[in-house]
Amino acid sequence: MSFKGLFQRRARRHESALELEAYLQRETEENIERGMSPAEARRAAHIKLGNVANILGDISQQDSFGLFETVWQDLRFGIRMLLKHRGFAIISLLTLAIGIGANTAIFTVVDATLIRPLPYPNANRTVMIWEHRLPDGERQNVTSPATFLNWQHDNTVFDQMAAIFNDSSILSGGDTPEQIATASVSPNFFSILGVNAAIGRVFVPAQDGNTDSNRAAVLSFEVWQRHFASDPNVLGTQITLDDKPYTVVGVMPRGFQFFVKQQSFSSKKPEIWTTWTFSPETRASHGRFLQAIGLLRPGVTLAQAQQSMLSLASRLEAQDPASMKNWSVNLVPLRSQLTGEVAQGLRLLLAAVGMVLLIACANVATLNLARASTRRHEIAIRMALGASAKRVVRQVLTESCLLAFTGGLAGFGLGYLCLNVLKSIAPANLIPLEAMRLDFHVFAFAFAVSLLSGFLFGIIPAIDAARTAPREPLQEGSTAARTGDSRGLARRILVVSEVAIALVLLIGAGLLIRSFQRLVAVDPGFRADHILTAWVQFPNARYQKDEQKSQFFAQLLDSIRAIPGVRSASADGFLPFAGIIAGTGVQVEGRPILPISQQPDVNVSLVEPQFFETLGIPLISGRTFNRSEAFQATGNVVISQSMAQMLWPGKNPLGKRVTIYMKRNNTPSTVIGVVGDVKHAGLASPVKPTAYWSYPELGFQFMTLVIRTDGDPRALIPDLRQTVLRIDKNQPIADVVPMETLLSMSVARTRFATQVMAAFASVAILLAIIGIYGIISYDVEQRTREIGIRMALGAQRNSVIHLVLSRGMVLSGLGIAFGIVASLALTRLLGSILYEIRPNDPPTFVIVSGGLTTVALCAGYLAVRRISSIEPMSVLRRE
Amino acid sequence: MPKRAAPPLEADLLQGTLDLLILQTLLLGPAHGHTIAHVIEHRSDEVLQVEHGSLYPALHRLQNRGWISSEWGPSENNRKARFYRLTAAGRKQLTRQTSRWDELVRAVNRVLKPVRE
Repeated sequence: MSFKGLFQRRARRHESALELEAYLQRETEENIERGMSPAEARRAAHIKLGNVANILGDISQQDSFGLFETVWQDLRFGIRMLLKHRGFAIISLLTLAIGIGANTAIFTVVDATLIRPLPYPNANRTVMIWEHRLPDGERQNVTSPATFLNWQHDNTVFDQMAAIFNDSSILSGGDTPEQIATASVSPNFFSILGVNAAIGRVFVPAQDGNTDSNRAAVLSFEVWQRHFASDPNVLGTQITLDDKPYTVVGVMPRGFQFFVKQQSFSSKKPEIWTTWTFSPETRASHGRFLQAIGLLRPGVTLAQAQQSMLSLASRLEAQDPASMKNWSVNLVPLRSQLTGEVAQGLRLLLAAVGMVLLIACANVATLNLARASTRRHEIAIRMALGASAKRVVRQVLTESCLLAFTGGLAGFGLGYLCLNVLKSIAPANLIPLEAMRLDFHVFAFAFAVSLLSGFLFGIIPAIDAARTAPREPLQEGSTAARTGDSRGLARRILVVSEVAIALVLLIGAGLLIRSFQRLVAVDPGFRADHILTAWVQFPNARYQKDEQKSQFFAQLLDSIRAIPGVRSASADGFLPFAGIIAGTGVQVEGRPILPISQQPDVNVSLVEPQFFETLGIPLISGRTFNRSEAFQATGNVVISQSMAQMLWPGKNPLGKRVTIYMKRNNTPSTVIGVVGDVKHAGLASPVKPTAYWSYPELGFQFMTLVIRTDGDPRALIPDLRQTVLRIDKNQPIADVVPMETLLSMSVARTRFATQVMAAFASVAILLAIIGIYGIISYDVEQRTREIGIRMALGAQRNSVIHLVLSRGMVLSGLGIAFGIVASLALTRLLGSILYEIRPNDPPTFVIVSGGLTTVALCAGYLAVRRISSIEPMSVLRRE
Repeated sequence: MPKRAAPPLEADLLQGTLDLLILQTLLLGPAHGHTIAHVIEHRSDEVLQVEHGSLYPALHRLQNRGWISSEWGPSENNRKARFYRLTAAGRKQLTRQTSRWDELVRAVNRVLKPVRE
């Protein structure tokens, strides 16, 4: 018996009937030959054959599938029922599609970020090795060449260890030079990850990186396509990075990337890898700037490795307390490193979207229960005709599952749309957009969620249906007056929980929104509007002398200032909101000399003249740098207000002298001005005391241009590029973005989380409204007779409305009360995300609860409006 | 009301016997239902007087099990008739069932007429 056969039952039955008819004809003919009359012959043939209907029944019974057969029957019946009750079906399907769709979309993100294996074969054994700075608890600090080499040499838990330095270099040789993200890595970097090149080879420790003369480079697939036009003969090509020649030895597979942003000098994914070599001078350096990864020996657990590295760290501290005091070591598995910060937010979203699904299920269950009451008649007849309770439960559950899977299918489609919306509003680098796809994982998830929800919202109505005593509903007239109490109770519990869950979501979203409002209302300390920024970095080989660099910038800034539409222009070493800044200890002249570990810590940046004016950072006292200071290091320093308060509280800092330990030969600098504080690391971050030197003091290889424009800063970009190339045709600029974009990118994650939560909360409130409206209007419908009688007996219409409405409101009130209790427990989980708002923020609770009550009242009012159209006489006449 | 599920097939004596007889008949060549019924009736010297109708569910069952196959073709007097044919699997089943039948007959005989030494 095949499936095909199952669906061809009618044809098969017809065939069997034909066959029997053929027998009858033949037998009849033979009987006639034997001398019977035609009628007698036919009769005898029938007697010989037996009951045709029974034979056909016997045959077709063989074709039935047992359980499958009844499921098929149930399904067909279910479809007929859904088509009959279209309103119910459409509302249920929509509700489910929203619930399942939202879950599918979020799961897709979770799958891409947290579940799918990392694209590195050795990912499970790969860990990041950080230094742990004890005084301020920075657990993921980059390490120094000296420490890295000690670790590499003395550890007992790693097979291999590699150093990584994410950099930015100029790739020249093409039409225009390009600033490109690069990484210098130990030659064994790729073998630690367990990846190989798509073309050519990755670095080989024995071959690459031993000498400075034979430099090898590995390209990303994307750079190979973009820059080398996917040239298959790219191997052996010479490329120029920062004016130094490199030989291409390999191209990585499409999509390969490795980038850990934590304390990385560059904020972009590297696209070209070169080998990191320790020169004799750098080997002993204690400057911390390297990231380190290690491949755990097979069988070594993370805890064992952490323990072993800790004891190694204390040995190193004993050997060299000056550099290693207050520093410990911290191992982080690669996966947590790459997904750690997103994971928490995602779990939050997953919880929220799970709640949306619960509400959706509660809603459909309520609808189902309401409908079940009207179906009691049908079910009673079926049970009276011999259907077992089990059979009825199965029928109702089949219908639920049918609904759930149709809803799931629609949800899968909706999830696809949601995913596209998510992709369009998600900030860059937050989630791996390219890894997000609706694959088998996601489909299985949507299927499982559908099955679960079908069961969730189907089980209560199913049990309810099975408990139907056949006789009761069949007695006419008893339907309206006696609605089962337990049935009503189940519905009421569902509505109460629905309102409670919706409130939790609303309060969560409310807290996030208020937190976000406070965050974006924070004054960054400068005016971000009408500012264009651009990154300029010199190749190491050119502009060796400080004068050349100063000259370059002075000339460049003058040319930019001459562009029409430019109000002022300057440059900053470490732009606010761009990520990194240098920090160091300071020593005020004339005070007792402090050991390094006890010195006050300040941020240090380099600026060109007019910087504070251009960015709109207020000058509080003294002066800012003048033009001559752009060419010559004078030992003058401008400090931020908080630095002034930290070092000279209540006194005038102008003319005071302080040593900032950042040069080879450190001499005291003279304070010439005090400026306002800037939230350098982001709006939510605390202000750090900051010292600004003029550019020649340190002569960085890189600066960020800041240009204030009259109109849209973006309109200036072509002119800016032209100006730079006019001064040096080999000098690219990169990261050309308006300051406002940087500002909005800095809050993009928070905005994203807030938007998604707000969307879920809106869905939740919508579903809750449908739920409240549904139950009250059902109540009204069921009680039409009672209400009619009450009104016929003289009850006022308004008091009846009041009565019914207050019943609904008691449920909403209960739901809100439970919701508040649940929120108090759950919003604490938001604590670390919220900015300057407590998880139990009373205004949020009051506003949200009040709002939900109002909305519930409106939904209830809409539902009871129909009471006013009840005509007592017509109700009574119906009886 | 949905119909109850079909009971599991039980190889009761008569059913097994009928199957055996049908397979045996088809060993001679393809035949349609009417012929099979009359051949069985005739060859058993009219002892096995089954309702011819019970043959058809049996044919259906044997076909579902793959022991026989069927096709529509012209009968002797040029009417459309369904012809059944023994399959290779059916042939094997016939051998198996025949030997089991022999065993059964011997066993029953031993019970009915104990062997005398």
